[in-house]
Amino acid sequence: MRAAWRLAISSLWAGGRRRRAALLASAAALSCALVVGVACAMESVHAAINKQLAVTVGSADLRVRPAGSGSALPASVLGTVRGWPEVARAEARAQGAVMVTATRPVLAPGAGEGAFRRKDMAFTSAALALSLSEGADEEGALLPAPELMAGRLPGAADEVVLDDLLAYRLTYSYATAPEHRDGFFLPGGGEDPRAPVVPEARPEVPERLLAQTSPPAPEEAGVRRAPAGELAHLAERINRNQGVAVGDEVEVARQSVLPGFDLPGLRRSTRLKVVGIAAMPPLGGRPQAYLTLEGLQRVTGSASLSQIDIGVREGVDPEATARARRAELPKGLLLETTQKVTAGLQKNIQSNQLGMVLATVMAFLSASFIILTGLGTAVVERQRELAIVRCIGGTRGQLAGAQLVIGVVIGAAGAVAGVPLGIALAWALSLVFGDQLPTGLAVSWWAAGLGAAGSVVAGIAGAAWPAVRAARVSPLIGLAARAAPAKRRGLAAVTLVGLAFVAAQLVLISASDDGQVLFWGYATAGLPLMSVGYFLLGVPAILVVTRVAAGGVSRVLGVPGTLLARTVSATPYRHGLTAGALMAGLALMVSIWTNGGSMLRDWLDKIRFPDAFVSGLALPESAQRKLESLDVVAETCAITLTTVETDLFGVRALQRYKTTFVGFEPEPFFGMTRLVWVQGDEAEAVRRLKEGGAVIVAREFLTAQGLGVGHRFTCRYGEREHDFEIVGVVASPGLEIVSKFFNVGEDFTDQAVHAVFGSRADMKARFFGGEQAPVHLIQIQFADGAVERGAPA
Amino acid sequence: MHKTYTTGGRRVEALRGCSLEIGEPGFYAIMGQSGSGKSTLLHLLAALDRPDSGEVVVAGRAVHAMGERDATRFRRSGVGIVFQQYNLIPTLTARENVELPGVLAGEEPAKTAARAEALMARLGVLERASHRPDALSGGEQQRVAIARALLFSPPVLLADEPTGNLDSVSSGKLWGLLRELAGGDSALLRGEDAASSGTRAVNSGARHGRAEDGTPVAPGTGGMTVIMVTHEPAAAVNCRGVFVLSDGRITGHIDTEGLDAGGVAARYQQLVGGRAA
Repeated sequence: MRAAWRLAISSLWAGGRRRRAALLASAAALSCALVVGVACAMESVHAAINKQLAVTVGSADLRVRPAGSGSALPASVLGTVRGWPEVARAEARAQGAVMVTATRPVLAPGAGEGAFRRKDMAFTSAALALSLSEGADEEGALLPAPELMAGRLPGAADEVVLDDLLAYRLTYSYATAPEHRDGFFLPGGGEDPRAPVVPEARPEVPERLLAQTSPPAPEEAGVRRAPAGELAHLAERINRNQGVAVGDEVEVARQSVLPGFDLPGLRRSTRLKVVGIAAMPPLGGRPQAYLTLEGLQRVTGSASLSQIDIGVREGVDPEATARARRAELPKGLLLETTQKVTAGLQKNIQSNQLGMVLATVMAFLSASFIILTGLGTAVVERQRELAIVRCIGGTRGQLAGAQLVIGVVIGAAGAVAGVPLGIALAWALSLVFGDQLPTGLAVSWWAAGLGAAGSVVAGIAGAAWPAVRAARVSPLIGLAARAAPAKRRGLAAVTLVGLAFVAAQLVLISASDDGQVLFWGYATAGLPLMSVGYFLLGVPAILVVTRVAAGGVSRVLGVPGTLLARTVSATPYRHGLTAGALMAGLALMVSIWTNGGSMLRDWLDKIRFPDAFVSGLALPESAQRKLESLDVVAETCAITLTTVETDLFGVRALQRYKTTFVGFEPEPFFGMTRLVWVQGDEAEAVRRLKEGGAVIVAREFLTAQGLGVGHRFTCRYGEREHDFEIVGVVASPGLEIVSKFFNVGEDFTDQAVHAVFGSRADMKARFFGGEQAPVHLIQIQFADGAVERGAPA
Repeated sequence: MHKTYTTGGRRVEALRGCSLEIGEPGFYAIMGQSGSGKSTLLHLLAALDRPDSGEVVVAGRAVHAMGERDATRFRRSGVGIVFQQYNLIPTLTARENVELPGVLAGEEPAKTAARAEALMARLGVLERASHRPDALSGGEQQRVAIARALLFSPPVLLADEPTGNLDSVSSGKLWGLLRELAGGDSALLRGEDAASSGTRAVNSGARHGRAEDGTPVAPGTGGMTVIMVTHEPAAAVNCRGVFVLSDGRITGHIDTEGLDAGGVAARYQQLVGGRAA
């Protein structure tokens, strides 16, 4: 081993060869960096998604919730659930809408020169109050505690944590911004209220006047008396610092049912101490306040829970538990699994990871080709040296070992450079996509390990053939080595093997209809064979290219006409394999970059759904027009649900099945929601939906009913039969999330299995005789920048 | 020994019944014209190749019957080889080149280093130990190559046209060195200056070995057996005995005692049938 190591190091470190070794290591490093970079970027996206899921769904396996808004979830159910042997942990959640008021002293210029007047000002904001279960900050909590920016979690009923959006709403700056009045948002634009106010002049404040004021002294406190005009400015600056901080007290009251209808005495108010400020949830949304369960119940005056999260013991099937225990709950309560919501996302994560494995294999195959070409060329160039070593007692194994050591060193150098480079690349991406990646960079250590190991393996794989060639160097032939022209037989063999490998991939693709067989066959054999095939075809390709282009290139370069062609033709393997390696490497870089980018875009796009929803029992169509008239609203989509009868799903006794026909406005809907088209495509679907007589269905519908594009859906509304053609089958991870967010996960799935989605205009024409149809849901897309300005409020 | 090659689609009988026996240590030359089979014979002696038929026994070891591994070991320590092109590894320093057989043998580094240093000192290249071959003169490179060949003190040193690329001064020094290695008999070391100046060098040493024609070669005074392939009478005159190879056979033996380069050349011409070497 020492001999192989010594030979390898001397070979790598020799003056003229360092550059080549560095280039080969760079190839490995680049592959490693691409793999690690894309993997870390994906990990960052996964982390962001997981955080969103953790906040909205938590890590519970099951949950208990009221079946409808009229049902209550008694606190006693928690004890029942905790008594089930399958349950490892159960946590109660409660929530309620509250009004939070903070009263803070502010300054106004006094009557005399240099005088301030103190007054109390109340800042008020609506908020969603959420209970925190005991041990929410412990490892294994089903719903993790919010991320604290300051202070601690509430430990007593009279303590509260505000999220930073709520804390901001309770500031002088927010309350007095032109866009706001009494803490409520009014559209109208204007400067970003969060931007700090910087006065042009920095006045100095008389110490005597400062002593008369209760707010904290400003940092720039001075001794000079300021003119009255400047005092107003200074008061404004001081007031801008006024807001809620840890240690302050706020008043929290249950939000009144009707805005403005707030009679004193009817609304109970509770004083709570602010013990912490939490970061906003990743999805944003309403301002939030966190209390203990007891504290929340005291504020809202209700002992009911909104939800019980359940974590089952290891090995317990949540689905089976839900089926077995459902009957033990009081009427009006649902026991459901949380799996349905996360399943789609987990599948996406897994498929991306599989794609990543494929890309990794390809990246390192490419690096191997480059290393193989470089080391193979070196072996040819160093035949005499190798022969000398054989002459003085070097074994074949030592020569082969030296090549493998070179491969390991190159691969290891690639790993050392590539892993940090990849992480840096991902870090740069996380900065560029900072808005979409609120959790920042997440380093994928398994990918870093995979990248490092892959780099070393690529080095060894690339050195394998050169090692065989080195071991086969005859001392006699090596000493007398002269350049020999490539044999036609060898060129023909390389061409045939290359074509056979490329053809093998095509054969594999068409060999089976089984998706699993196809994928794994392609991943483990087809793709590598294709890569090696194209790599080998570089040899005949370079000869063809040389024959075609050498004359012209020679003229451009001003070299003798035949020099270039002869040089390449004399060493077709070296040039061809180098070209093949470069081609494979370049293709891979483009492929990884493109796929990595599209993966990121897919992730970010797939979870796209409308910015806001307005729901009601039967909103008039004028509500949609009113919304559209607001500056902050870019687009809306009205959705109408109506029940239709169909016997498509079979006839049950004499009663037909009832299902939901969802009428929507195709273009705005597709613009707001990213759909995955399982069958059909968006352009055709929009065209057909606008024409009428067409519907699209969910993936669950296709799975459950076996009906997809081309099948017909016939239903009865009133006295008439209506016939539709299914023109698309879709899925939407974004809608799966949002349905969970609005606690309609079960309903979403049920609807998806049976419901059909058609044009609202078509629905009105067929079902409502062209008259107005009630609107049950309006999706809203806000104008650019509106969300940042606080439009959701 | 018989050895046939196929080169460029042509069958070449390099050795056709070549027979040579050297019984005692000493400095010998094998002379012959181009294509006579000199280098092939040397390769067979060095276990770099195998005869198609016949036996090769070197220092009591049946080289012709050796497998790959034994042949490699034999080349490492049973025989030293010096080439016309020096054949040093260009990426290693002179010291590393000399130490290389020890490294390949897996010998303890300190031991190898000590022997290499002693050899380099003896051959006058120690002060050039840290230089790479491209920084050494031809003579220095050849001395480094000899030091490398001698690292394991092999009983036989084979030299293929060792002075072919050297000027006359360097050649003379090298011949002197080989003579010294071959004997330990100070009488063999005479005339270094004469040799280097191209004047007649007279070999008065004892004869060794036995030629194909049965001419006995007297034993020398000890040291190693140095066999040099050359076509230069000026080089051969330094040897104790010269075996003439023609058309793949040993066709005669020249006793160099009392001969100068011209005398050796004349005898050689007679043995090869008047053709120039």
